[in-house]
Amino acid sequence: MELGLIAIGAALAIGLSALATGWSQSKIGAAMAGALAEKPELAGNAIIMIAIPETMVVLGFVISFLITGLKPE
Amino acid sequence: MLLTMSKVEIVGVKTLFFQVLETLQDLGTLHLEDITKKRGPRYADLIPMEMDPALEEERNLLQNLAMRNNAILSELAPPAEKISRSVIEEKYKSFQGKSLAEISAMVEEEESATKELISYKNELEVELSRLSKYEPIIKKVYPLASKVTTTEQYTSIALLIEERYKGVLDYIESELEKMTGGQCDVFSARVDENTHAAILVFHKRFSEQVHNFLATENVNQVRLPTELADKPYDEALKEIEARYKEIPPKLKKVKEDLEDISNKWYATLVALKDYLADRIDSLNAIPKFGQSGHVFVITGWMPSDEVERTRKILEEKFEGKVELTEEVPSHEEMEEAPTAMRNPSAVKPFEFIYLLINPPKYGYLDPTFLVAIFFPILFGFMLGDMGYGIALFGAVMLVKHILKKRESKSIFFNLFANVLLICSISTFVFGLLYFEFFGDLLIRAFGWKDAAGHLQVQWIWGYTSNGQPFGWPLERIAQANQKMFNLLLIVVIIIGALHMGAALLIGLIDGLRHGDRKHAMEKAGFLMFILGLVIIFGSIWGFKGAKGVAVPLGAVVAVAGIVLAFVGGGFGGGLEAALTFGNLLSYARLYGIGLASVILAEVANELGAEFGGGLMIVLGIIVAALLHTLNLALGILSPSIQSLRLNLVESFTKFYKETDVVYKPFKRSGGE
Repeated sequence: MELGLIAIGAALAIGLSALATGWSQSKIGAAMAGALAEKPELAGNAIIMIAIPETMVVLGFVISFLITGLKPE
Repeated sequence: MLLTMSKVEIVGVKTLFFQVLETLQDLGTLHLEDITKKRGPRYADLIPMEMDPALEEERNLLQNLAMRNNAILSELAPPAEKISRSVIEEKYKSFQGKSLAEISAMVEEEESATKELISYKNELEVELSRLSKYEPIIKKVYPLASKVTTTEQYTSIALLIEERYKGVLDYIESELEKMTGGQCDVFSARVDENTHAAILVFHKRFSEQVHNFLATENVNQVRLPTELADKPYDEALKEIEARYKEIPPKLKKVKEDLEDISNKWYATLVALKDYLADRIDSLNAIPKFGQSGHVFVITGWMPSDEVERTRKILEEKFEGKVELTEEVPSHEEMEEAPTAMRNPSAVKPFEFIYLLINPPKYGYLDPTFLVAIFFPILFGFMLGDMGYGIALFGAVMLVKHILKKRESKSIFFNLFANVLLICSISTFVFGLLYFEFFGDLLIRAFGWKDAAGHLQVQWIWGYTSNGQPFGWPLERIAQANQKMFNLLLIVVIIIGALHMGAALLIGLIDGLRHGDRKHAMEKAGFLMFILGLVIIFGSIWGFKGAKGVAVPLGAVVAVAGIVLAFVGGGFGGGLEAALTFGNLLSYARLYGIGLASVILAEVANELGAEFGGGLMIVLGIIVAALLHTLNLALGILSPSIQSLRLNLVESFTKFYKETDVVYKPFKRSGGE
């Protein structure tokens, strides 16, 4: 496979998953900020909720790194 | 660890009730239970205690006194010299022998000494703030106003006009002349770079017309305080200025008087605040108790190691007329047992997580020690840099010093500062493993990089599958050896497997201890699934010779784990077991965050080095230091949140049971 394609693949893997994480966190973050204003005791849940979508970008990062390990033909 | 709690019942003759209540408040060990909410034959004959009108009146009076005392306290600044706890404690004790009438008289005395001063101070502050709004106007208009003389029939209006609109003054002048038939005059001057001031003088009978005209033209009129509105501008402004100058010395004097009062009374007021709060608490607790004939009954929980001491004190003090007995709690009562923790000093800071989630349920294992082990490891793995470790240690010590100086009572910050202190040590240790000191500073200094800029391993531990060596220092940006990534990924997944494995083991033990077979089976299933994965990936990436046997064996163990979790936890359990794989991979963030940190540190050094020699070195150092500071700030924030997430999401969700009842002993404020 060409080096350029490998690079694009890796970039897409991390880029798209980062966008997805960001989008989810923006939605959850806004909702949790509202919830915290009413119930500050939900701080622990807020961290958990906001942190959940991060798995996507972490997996994207792993895939991206695995792709960069491929040898160009 | 969670303290073992005992359910206790205190029975005594009614006449001693208030003395017993006071003793219990002094001892501060009993977590009171509301007897009115108790069901069952043991409580069937008990009548809840009621507040009689005399007690009700006493409570109202105490609340009134507390409110008045707190109002005075809120107006006084604490004395410059710190008041010691023993002084407050001593004053607190002095109230115990006083009647309510005496305390009431004391509050009245405080009020009469402070009320007038406080209200005078507030008046002066309001006046000062009101007049301060006129200060810039006075500065601008006064020089012009002092040149204008008006008679009784004439009045004046001052205007402030921006420089760019100064042309409007000619228009206003011509309109004013038309309106007043020439009985007017306009004085104007530039007062600063952007402003023109103008004073319009005209006959009083045109006042309404002129004001209406200016209002419709939207011109910025200078409005004076109502009481000075009728005076000529120069006089009014002079008076405002004089008053404005008079207030600060008066205010200073009042504040000094209040400071004197604070020095004299503050400790007494704080002690009284605590004393009144404690008495109100004690009266509020009365409806929680039960009575029967001539005896009262108090029920609650206390740490088991406190039972004997409390029993002995009650026995000695009340000569056997009050008895404390340890009850065997029913299953339902055990559900309501409060949670109290007592951890060693090294583990205690990690109790900060219970400010984010509720503490563990009574009867289950306390996972704080797990957090204390893994939080610093996860944090250090990510930040790992000797320089950052030292800087973080210094910064935390400074913050702790500031917190101490400010007498901060924030439990979160005090605990978290200690967590970061422990994390700074793990950061240093991992930094030693990676041999990073503010990035690659030391590696550059020792010349351990080859011509292509790749780190040369100094102590070879082994070889990756592509035959390249790895060892100490462990390189995180291993561009020359792609297989290093696999190796580091294995390391983080091993950390994850150990972390999650320990959490699941706690869940398994909890299940077995509570005789909850299904729960235990589910956790055992999760554990088997993780074990299966470790066997599979261990053979693929590590012990390749055993691949032929290990992969099928691992697959069988993993599938058996899913089945076991399915049996124990139903469909949800089976699904969660399979999703554990995602949880394991989630630990790859350790590597990702660490990589970002080390790359930014190296960029900082590279940028600093770009500035070349001579005097430019200083600029290079400043740029590098700024970038390193930014990296350290991010390096504290990000690993903290990620470590927290790994603990709360990947680990705690597997076993953790929160409590609804936290141990809150009935105690007095003790001069706090």
